Amino acid sequence: MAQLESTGAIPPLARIERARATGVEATSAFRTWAPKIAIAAAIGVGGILSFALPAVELKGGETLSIDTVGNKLVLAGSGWVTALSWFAGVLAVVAAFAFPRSERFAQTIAVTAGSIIAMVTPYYVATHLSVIDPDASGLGTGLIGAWIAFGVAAVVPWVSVLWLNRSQTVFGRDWPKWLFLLPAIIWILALTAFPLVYALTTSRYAFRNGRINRFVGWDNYRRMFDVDSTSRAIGGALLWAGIAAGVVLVAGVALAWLNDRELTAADVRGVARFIPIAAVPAALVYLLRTILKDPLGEQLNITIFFVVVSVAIEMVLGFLLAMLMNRELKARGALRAILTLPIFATPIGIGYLARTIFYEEGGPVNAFLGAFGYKVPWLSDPDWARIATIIIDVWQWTPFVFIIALAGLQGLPQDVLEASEVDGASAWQVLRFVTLPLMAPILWLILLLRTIDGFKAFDIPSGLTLGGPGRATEYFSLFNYRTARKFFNYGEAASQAFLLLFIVMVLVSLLWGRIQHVYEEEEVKQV
Amino acid sequence: MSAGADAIGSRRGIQIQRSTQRKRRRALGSIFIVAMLVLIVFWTLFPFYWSLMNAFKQPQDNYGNNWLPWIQFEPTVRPWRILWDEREIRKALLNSTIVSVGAASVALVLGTLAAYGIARFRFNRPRNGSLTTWFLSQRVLPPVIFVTPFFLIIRELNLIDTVWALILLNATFNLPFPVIILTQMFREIPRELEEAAQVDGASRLAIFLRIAVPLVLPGIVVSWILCLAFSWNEFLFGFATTVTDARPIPVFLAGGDQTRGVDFQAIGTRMAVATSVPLIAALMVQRYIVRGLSLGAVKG
Repeated sequence: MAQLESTGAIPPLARIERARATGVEATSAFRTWAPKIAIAAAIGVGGILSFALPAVELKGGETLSIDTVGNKLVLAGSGWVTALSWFAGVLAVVAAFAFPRSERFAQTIAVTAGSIIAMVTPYYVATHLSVIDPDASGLGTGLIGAWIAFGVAAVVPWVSVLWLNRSQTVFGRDWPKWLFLLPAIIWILALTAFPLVYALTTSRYAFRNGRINRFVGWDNYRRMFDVDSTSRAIGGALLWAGIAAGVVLVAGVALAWLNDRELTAADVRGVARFIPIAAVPAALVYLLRTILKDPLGEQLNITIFFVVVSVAIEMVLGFLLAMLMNRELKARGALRAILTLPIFATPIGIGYLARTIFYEEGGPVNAFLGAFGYKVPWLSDPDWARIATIIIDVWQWTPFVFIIALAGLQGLPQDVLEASEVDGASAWQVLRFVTLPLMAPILWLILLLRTIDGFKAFDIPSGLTLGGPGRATEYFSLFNYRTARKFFNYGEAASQAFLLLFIVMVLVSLLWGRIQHVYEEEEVKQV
Repeated sequence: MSAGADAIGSRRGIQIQRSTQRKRRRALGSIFIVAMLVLIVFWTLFPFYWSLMNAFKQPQDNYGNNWLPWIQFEPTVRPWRILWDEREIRKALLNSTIVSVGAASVALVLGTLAAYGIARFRFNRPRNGSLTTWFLSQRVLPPVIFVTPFFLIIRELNLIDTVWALILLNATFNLPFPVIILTQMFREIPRELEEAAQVDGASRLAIFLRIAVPLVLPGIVVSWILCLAFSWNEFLFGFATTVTDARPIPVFLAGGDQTRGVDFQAIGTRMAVATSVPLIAALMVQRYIVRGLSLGAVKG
């Protein structure tokens, strides 16, 4: 069991032995690349054949192209067939190139499984000919060719492993490690990655009453955008990015100078690293606000407002609270227990409960405020309704920030903090120069998680306000859901969802570099 | 030598001076902290308190300043009787139990295997770090993106309005939690134990099942409970894929209300029933919550 061998440098002799055993050094460029290229070629040929040659033969000698067949499949509600073929084929090609030789077990399995799954289209068409066309007599040369080509692609990795690149151990010595991972990987590919691909397919169709109606290409996406304002939007976005970058640069440099009355290149570099975090969201928000058509643009606006305000409050409150509680407190354990409760309270239930709490005529909040002569239209006024959702979100998620920040604070190296105190640093200086820098990765992480979860807000608004009054609290997820399920417009809903995915991806990629090393512990050290 | 001793002595003097100042400040600070504590506890617990109060009120006591039982209003168990008479809630409770236990168990089995793989073996490409990231990416994907494709797939599989669909979906979205928690826990097990077993000729699977899994059993229980709580609370997919037969508790909570306006009593009792399960679960796994919720950033 090689992976359990002790760590440390490998002596040269052992390295040669190992190389011999696994056959790593016995490969030439041809042996390495030929199978990969053969797999890609076979799948590529399969794809091209299915498009270039007729897919289905009709009785009268006429033929149908793969486009028509694919369209008919989607209209019959079997769009997953072609989506699955695409997905599996691309996966097989990626697997052929992505895995190094030492992971040839995973490579072989992935390529074979991908190629076999890619055969689903010819197989499904062959078994459901009457669905495609009542007159269909059989598969056309295109799909038969694709079937054979995919079959070849499924066999090539085995030819490589068993003959071209054969070695004493067929899959290398530690291939069973993949058996631990494969179930979870297959599960996620099937239930996360494939649905995303399928969503891409459905986003290119128009739906009527929940049934696929016709192919509209990229129209669902085009309809989201006001194409005329593109140049204005891009210009404005660049301007806002510039402004944000300038503000960050000036403020950061000024702060850096105020700290020690001198400015080094390292200071400027440190500030510059913050520029994208300010500039990209600024540009993105302006771009989306200008270019998106209503109601999508409007709903995105209020979502961004909701996310920014609630996340800002949660971060500040949660961190302050954690600072406050980061000391010897007898009640800390109990307090932490109490503060875990909101995170786990059924969110939809909290939404409905909040409806009774913010009830305008005699609800507890208004009854309390009534004693001072105030009456707040919590649920009937758009702005107050938004504030109510923000309050509930803050109630539920400030504890999350608190608990993680507290754990982070307690994990800080105490000697560093004590040393800086002994050296005469004021409480503010300790916070500014020791605690915050050490906590930065964790705080960025919480910020990222909270921001993304903010965009997921669905339960609270649907319980508290049902998105109302009007559409004042119909945040993006709720809006998107309603497009899909209330108006049965799955195509448009899918295209809107991809916009949300895009926003989330931008956020993640902006902050990923800052938090990655927090949890990605050092690689497993072993031979 | 003596200069150094002087410096230490003066520093000690400053420290003593500072510590008296600090004591005074600490006394003021502790009053402030206690006040904050009380406020926070009140703020956090108030909605739960209000939900319980609603569950013991007559409808006419709903409005106005009715905060304290027996003093401001006469409590009644009538809302609970009404709840008890509803056949649907038993069905919903059963569904939710099946869904959350099933989903948590599936996620746990897949997640434990994956976590052991990532923690114990070295992967060259994709690297272990990329594999972890890939599993974690589940945590940041907005679930609403999956409503459309899942609905269409589930309709195709004839699983609409069944608990199977919900088990599938919840297991998928909870998979990151066991992976995060257990990867770290497996890493903390001393490798020597497994090496010893290996020398004795145990197979990989035997080492995993007989040695590694028993050692991380607390982590396994915690992950299972976390997944259970999150599956129990899940509303979006329950709402999207169920009609009547497979309605879980959160959907039941939402559905009953729409038909009869804002029924304070129904909300109170249902809320109490629905939330009790995840809250008890949360209190049980309280110490591990940080790891589970934060992509395992900090050890909790």
